[in-house]
Amino acid sequence: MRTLLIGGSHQAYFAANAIREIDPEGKLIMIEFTSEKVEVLSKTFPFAEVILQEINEVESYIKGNASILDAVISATESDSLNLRYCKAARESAVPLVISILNNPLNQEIFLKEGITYIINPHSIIPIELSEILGGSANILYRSPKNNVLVASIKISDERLLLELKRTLDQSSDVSAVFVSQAGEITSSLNEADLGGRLYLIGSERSIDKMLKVARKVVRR
Amino acid sequence: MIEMNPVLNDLLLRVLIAAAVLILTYFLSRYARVSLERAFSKFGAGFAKKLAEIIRYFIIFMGVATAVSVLSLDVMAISVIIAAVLIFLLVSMRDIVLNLAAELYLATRRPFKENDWVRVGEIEGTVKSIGGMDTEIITYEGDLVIIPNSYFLRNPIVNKSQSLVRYVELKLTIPKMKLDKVEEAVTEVLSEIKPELLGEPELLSMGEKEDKIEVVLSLPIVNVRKLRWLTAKITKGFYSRGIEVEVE
Repeated sequence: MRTLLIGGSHQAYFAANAIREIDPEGKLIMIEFTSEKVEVLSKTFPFAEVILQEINEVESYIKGNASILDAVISATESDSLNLRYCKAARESAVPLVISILNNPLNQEIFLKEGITYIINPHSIIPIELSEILGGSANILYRSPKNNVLVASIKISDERLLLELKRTLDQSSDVSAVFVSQAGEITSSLNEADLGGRLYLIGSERSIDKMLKVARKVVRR
Repeated sequence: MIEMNPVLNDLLLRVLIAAAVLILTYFLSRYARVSLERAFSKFGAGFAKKLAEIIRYFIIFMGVATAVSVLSLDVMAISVIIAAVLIFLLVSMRDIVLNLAAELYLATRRPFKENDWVRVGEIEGTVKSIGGMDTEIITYEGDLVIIPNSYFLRNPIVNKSQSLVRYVELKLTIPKMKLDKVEEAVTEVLSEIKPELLGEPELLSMGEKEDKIEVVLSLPIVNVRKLRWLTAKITKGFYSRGIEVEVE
């Protein structure tokens, strides 16, 4: 796969390594704006073709190569540049256009501009905090493509446990594992006790419903 | 005290009521437009605005019809005129009405979104933009096709976007020679183009047919517009090995 990765930020480093792992034989092209960074990137990622480009020339590069590019990932240190490059790629019908955000508050702007794949590295902060601090209901992962959700719910109440058991019995598209306070993992909810945590994986719609039930019971 | 003619009195009263109905209709239509625009904004700002505008005109039309009926003009004559105007509008703007209905279908059912890979009737490609009247699709060959939205009501839509990779089959025709040599060349050429694919290219079949050898390949491609460029690369790869090839 031919991937264009724009920028030499820390995020771009992670992205380049991930791409190499996913598609070891793929063609990775990196664009940077300063010759110093180009030199560093060439040494760090010998498998990639690193190109020095002016900030305002990148869009022309994207448009000129759109018919052979499979993915454009914009990971510069400026969200306005990321938006510009993603828009150019989208308008040129590159199949995969991905932006890595610097400021999570800009996500809405990207969505409004029709950029479907937006990676927000900060989104992990509330998730991790909620898991560490034992939040009542927590969405761990939302798949960007297939409407699959992974979530966890703290079993703090007997009513909640009964309600979840009932909902799980009725849902054919959700699987669950229970982790007790002692750290034992079981797939049977009959062995679930208070204080443990239920982990769910399944369709977004069903799990959203279960999270609503959990929040409602906890509020009562 | 001036004594008014009862007929004139009655007409004045009806004119006042009709005026009140028109004023009420005006404010109601404005309120409905704002509320509906807000309510339907989840389906896209442009679509919400258009739908709210249509409903606003419908409310105005109903208000005017009510006002006219309050005036007690010849209802039969008015109905005939209105029906004739409506039929004329529907017939003359049939395609526009169909496209608007299709837009409603696309906004509510959402069979595809921008950047999805779809096949509709004979057309296959990436959705570039979805407009009120038409949708732009970029095909394999990189051509921009503008499809009126009504086309989606008449043809089944196949959305192929769940899979990132599309498997494209290529048929190569090579002059008759030793099969071992052809297989070796195919393997080498495939390894040359592999960095452009997502997954392993496959040699599906190879066999002699009359005085030629036919080879069928399967290529896992993300950007199908790349196919023409890849075909040129494959041809060049075979030529550089002294083998003439025709790619279909």
